[in-house]
Amino acid sequence: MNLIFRLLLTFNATSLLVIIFLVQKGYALGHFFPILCPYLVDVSNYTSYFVYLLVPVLMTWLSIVMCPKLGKDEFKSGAVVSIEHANNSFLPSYLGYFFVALSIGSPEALFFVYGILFVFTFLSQALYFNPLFLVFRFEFYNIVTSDGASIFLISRNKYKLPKDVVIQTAYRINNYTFIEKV
Amino acid sequence: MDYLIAKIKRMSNPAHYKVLSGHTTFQFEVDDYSLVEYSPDHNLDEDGLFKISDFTEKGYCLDFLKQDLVSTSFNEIPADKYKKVSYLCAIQESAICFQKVTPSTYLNRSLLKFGENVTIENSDNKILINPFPDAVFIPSQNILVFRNLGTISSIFKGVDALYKEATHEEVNSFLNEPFIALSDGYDASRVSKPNRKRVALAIESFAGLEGEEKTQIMDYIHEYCENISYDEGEKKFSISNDEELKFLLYGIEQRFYTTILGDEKRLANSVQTLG
Repeated sequence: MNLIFRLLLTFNATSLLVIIFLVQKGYALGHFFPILCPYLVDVSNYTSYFVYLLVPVLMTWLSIVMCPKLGKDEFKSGAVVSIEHANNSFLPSYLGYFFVALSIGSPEALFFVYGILFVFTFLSQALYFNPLFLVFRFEFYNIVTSDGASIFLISRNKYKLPKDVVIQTAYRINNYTFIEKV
Repeated sequence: MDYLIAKIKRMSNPAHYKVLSGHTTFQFEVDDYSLVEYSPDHNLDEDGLFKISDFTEKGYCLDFLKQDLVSTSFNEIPADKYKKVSYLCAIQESAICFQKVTPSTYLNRSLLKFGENVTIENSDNKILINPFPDAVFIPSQNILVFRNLGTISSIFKGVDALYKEATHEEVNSFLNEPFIALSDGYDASRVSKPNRKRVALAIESFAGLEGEEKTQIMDYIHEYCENISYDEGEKKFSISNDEELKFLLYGIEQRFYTTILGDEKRLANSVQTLG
């Protein structure tokens, strides 16, 4: 279960690379299956790009729906001693994706680069920053628990102070990443 | 939220891993039991449990019990470590329950499962949870309660120091006390295990007695133990077997008494200080 969930999150976090590549190359939907689905050829580029974007959005929604299948944890009052808003920290890594995607020349290169990126994102497990969570009104926080452990929390609540963080059920994505689904 | 963690053998930093959460593993209410401060020679009643007070101040208390527990601080247990669990620890609302895990706690048998269709289930990767935990820490009272010290000594390293058993030398020097005369070839090497435990306690009790009190104790033992031959002139008990030694040791602990009604002489094989 956890494995499927992590694969899904990794896909969501890295899929933007593929989309940017397709947009940069101007590959519309019709480009892929001209013989199987000839009606796709008439689909405009804008519609195609929108459809591409819809895939990770739906996958992200699916991953949020699947959360309750993960292990549960509780944050009691006083369990958190420090909190830091982390919405912006994904930006540097995402800019990285953009530049890599823009400079990829061929589908083979994309296949290879995306493969490497996917494996490393999956193994690092820390980089589940998925800006699409922001679309679903989630916020990212770096929190420190009372015994000094640093944790990455994804939540819809707008926490400001450590004492605000009292969570009945937080789902454990991995040992350092938790998500609160309200 | 209640959760369960496991200690993995031969692993440190971290040694404890989270197993699951949101489930109450042990149904335990400390109020259902009468608690007795641990003493090696006490025989527990059916509803009784031993306790160790001020537990977090003891050297054998586990470090993680001394601080506020946060479930997020425990990593999830890797599936391949299930065979290496040395104990389970359920962190619950008002009690932290421990269960020792031994090779026999793992289910390695086939199970017949009834239902629509009867099927054989292999019971790999299953750990049996006992109805009663081996030890329970009550944070609000700072006590550890348990039934058997031997069982929990692998969980709380060093707690077996409470279970004193006299060494061969100590038994030897005790048997050489002036009020004991050995006969029939009885010597320190033939002293049984339970008696070694009693000797350890008796040495302490006896050392606390004044000269006059010692004489009183001798007379008291002689009064109750007619089966042990006593030389009144030399004030020596003749000990020829384990049974006689046991009664002598009970005497030193003042375990004999006479009932108020009926004047029946009795031995208390387990005692508890009142008040």
